Amino acid sequence: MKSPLTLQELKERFGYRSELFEKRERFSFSRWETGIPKGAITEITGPGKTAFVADFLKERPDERVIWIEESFSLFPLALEQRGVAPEQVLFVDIGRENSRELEWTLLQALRSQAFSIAVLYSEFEDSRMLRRIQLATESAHAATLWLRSTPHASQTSALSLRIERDPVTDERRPIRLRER
Amino acid sequence: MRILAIALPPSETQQEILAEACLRFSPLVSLGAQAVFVEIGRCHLLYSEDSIRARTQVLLSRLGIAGRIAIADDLATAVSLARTQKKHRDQIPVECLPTYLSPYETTDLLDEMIASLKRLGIGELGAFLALPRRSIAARFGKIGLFCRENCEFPERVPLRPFQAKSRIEESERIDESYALIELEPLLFVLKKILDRVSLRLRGTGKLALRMKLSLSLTPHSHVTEPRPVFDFVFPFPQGSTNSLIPLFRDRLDSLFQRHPLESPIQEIRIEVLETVPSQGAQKNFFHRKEEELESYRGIVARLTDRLGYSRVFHAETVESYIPERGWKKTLSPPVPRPTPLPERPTRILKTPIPIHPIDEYFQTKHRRWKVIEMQGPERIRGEWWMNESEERDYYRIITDGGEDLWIYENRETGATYLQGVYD
Repeated sequence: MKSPLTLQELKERFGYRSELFEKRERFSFSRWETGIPKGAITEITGPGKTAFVADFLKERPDERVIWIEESFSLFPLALEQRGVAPEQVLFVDIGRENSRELEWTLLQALRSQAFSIAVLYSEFEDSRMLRRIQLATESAHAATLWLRSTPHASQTSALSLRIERDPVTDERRPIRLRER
Repeated sequence: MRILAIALPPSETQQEILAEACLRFSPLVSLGAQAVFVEIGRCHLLYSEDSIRARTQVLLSRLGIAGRIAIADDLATAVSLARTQKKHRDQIPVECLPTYLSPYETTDLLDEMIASLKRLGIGELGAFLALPRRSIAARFGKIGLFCRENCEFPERVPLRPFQAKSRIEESERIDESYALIELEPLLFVLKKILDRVSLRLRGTGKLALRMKLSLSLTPHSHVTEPRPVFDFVFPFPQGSTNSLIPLFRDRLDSLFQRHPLESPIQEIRIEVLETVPSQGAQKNFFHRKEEELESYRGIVARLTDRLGYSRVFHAETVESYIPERGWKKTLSPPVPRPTPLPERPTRILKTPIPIHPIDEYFQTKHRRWKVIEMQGPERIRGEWWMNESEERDYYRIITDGGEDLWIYENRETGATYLQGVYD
């Protein structure tokens, strides 16, 4: 009887290329040295998360962005003051009464391939919905930035950041909670 | 003059639709007797004869028309070559002589002459033209002579320009045995109709801003609404089936879930109610901006159709001293306006929340913050010309939890409110 193959032998036999799975394309970003991953969800929590996203968008003026909020509280004037071009961002105010449309809106926006960056501000907890968003983000090769007040319990997001105030410099800086 | 002729079978009824769609190739299009003519002589910089042939073939297959194509220097020869699929003018059978008399209408004036010619063993145009004029005049009279002149100088027949109809309307009758009542088969038929609509729009250099879809249902006794009508208003002009179909699918899907069709559909009709001129640019092979713009417009149209116009927008800065009135919603690309105002919070509350300062704390009904830093004030006065004299002193406060709040004090009442967060 043949002895079973080791994992390494199996990888060699099928021409496994680790870089295909490990190296994710990223949007470079001066405030986060490893960049924002494409085709994945990046979760951002903590006070200062919106300004962090604004700084990111300011550095990507050629990318088309959809910004979806469950209950619209964003002050767009502040984004423009922080250097985000107003024509770059399409806002969607889902409204609390239509919250079930949130998933449809985000999935359709990603599938249309019209946006390379999606920003979602919602506190939803549904892990299956999150998985569907992850798959759509991956196939659209877009970056989904998910703003929340607290990190989500599931491990679906590729990168989870929390913005914290540095006690020494008093500046807000991102802290990596997890990355895969 | 160089003419592309499309000869159509006698049963074909879509001649005008084809002519309209052909306007995309050349502004000079004409309707003949079961034929469409396109003057391509001055378009040689846009396409070659081979490519226009191939493009016309694609157009015919999209419209579902079994037409035959030929190119020649005049109308009658082009359509005769198309009908007979002969290579040279001299080989055209004498049965095509009425076309030389007039390519625009059918006539039986030459029936006797054609029969006589065939009895004489003259079956082709080359042989007919070899006959002396005098003998034609003696045998067939003035009509024969006129036909002979037209055969010899066919380019003398002028092109009658075709005027496209101002209203674009397309319909399809559904076979009763088909029992069309579900969305997917309906979309299948709709795609065919929308294909025709988009070809006509493109031919006439227009884009649709508003469309009406009407369905005629089988009038069974239980049917309460036998002719449902759906109005489609697009935020951006639409011209392609690919962008229109998802809009129709979304709308009809949500409608049919709430109110399924009561009986099978007998007829589907689409009318274009409002149009705008399209730019009519050629496809750019070196970048995908047009496709990206089309898919962007498509998704915006779908989102506005589903969520409502007020929920999908760009934000445009408005000159106002009142912070909450500092922007407005728009769907057209907003104009960036540099604002001299101090940095504003990224989040703003629709209704400011009253807060109460107690020692070094601010508190609402539900929360309490310890203030570790406070900056301000920035004084903002209401728009007095609008009879708003409210004066506010704004402060930026940093709390021990790292939050950065934007509060104001109403100078008249002394009340304090939380209005924004530097998130």
